[in-house]
Amino acid sequence: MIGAVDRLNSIRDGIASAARLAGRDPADVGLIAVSKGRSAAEIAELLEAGQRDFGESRVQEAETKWPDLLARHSEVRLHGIGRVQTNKAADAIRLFDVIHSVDRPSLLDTLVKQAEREQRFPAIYVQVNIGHEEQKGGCPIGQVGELVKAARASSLPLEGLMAIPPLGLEPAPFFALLATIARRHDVVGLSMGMSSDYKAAVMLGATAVRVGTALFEG
Amino acid sequence: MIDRPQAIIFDFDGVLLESEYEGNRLIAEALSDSGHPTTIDDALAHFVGLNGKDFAAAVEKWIGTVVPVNFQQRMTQERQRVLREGLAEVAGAVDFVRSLPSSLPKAVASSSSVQWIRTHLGHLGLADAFGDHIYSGRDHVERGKPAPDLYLHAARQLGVPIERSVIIEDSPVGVTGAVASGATVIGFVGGSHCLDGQADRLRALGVHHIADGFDEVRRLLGLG
Repeated sequence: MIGAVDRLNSIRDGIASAARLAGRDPADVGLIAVSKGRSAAEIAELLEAGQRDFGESRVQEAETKWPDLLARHSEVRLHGIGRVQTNKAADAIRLFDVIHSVDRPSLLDTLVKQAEREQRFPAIYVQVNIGHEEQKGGCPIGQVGELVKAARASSLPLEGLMAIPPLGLEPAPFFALLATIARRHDVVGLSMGMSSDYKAAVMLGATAVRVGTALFEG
Repeated sequence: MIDRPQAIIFDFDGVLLESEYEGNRLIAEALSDSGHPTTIDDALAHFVGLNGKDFAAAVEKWIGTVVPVNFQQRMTQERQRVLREGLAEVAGAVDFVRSLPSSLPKAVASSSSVQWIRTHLGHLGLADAFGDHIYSGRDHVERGKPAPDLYLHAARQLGVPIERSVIIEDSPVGVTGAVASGATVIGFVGGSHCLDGQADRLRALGVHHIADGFDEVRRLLGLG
């Protein structure tokens, strides 16, 4: 049976070879293990194997799983990668070290207020609705500039842009588009790419990939 | 079959020119001569698509020590020699290019320099086949492959929407950029450098079709 160490090494190798092919330094790409829906025991296996960045979609789920794990592994960086409801903003600020899904000025304002109240300032990504999908979160492409500007003026450090390409379509054009939008706005960080497409994302400039299935199931 | 493509954009090394195989044969020979036995398959497995410091790092990892002083020098000399003497075509490439209708816009989009491409096209007897439409990742765009910019530039210069263009590419780096451009991409595995499993590797990167030679390319393009 393939263990967590092997799965982790295999993904890290995949990231490194894709980065090298693109003439990039593999150290410039972070691996976020998407642990939503995974048990504390499954997460502990990856922690033991040396993984330190984890991503959760739902604040409530993360709140039940992580406090114990964080008590034992204080060096973990917890990433909020799902849609943040305004009424959960305070919890998100308390729990997450990075929030990848800031997609509207009202959410940014609420997060900033809560951050100042808590005196805790997670880094943020502006999520872009890269495929113009009505049902999906993310800032419309035409409004990215304004939101990036507002994020830069806020007390929350802007780490980059994040996007999830539409299901069922080839993701590479959307990765390339996100990279172009980032360049246009002088943003360096790119959170893009998941289990099935992280290599293409790395070749097209990802600085953080969010991998779940391939890490937990092989 | 691909529905009425309006332009064809070719990668160069490994698609029209057998340089990937020859280059790695020379690497294997030079490393073996300097005391580090290396077969062509070893070189193809470890060095394809790498340049500059990434290439040097891969060589050092392979031989387990620093790159021999004379190795880089020898590679430069060999490169100059093949530029003077020319290299073989990828089987069927020259006939294929010549058989294309003159009304069909076509371009070369490559990471090599324009000088390298033009000189070798001359050796192959294709000096005029692409007119001015020879685009280099070093010379024409800020971001070379795997960014899609070079293909987008080529399509713009040809006056054809990228989504109506076909790109023929052989390497994972090129294929990634080609797929990202929004064109229809043929993953070409007809070069001597293509190892087993290359078609699957390219499919995993999203190519729309695989061709193991120019007869298959011709069929995919509906050119008989």
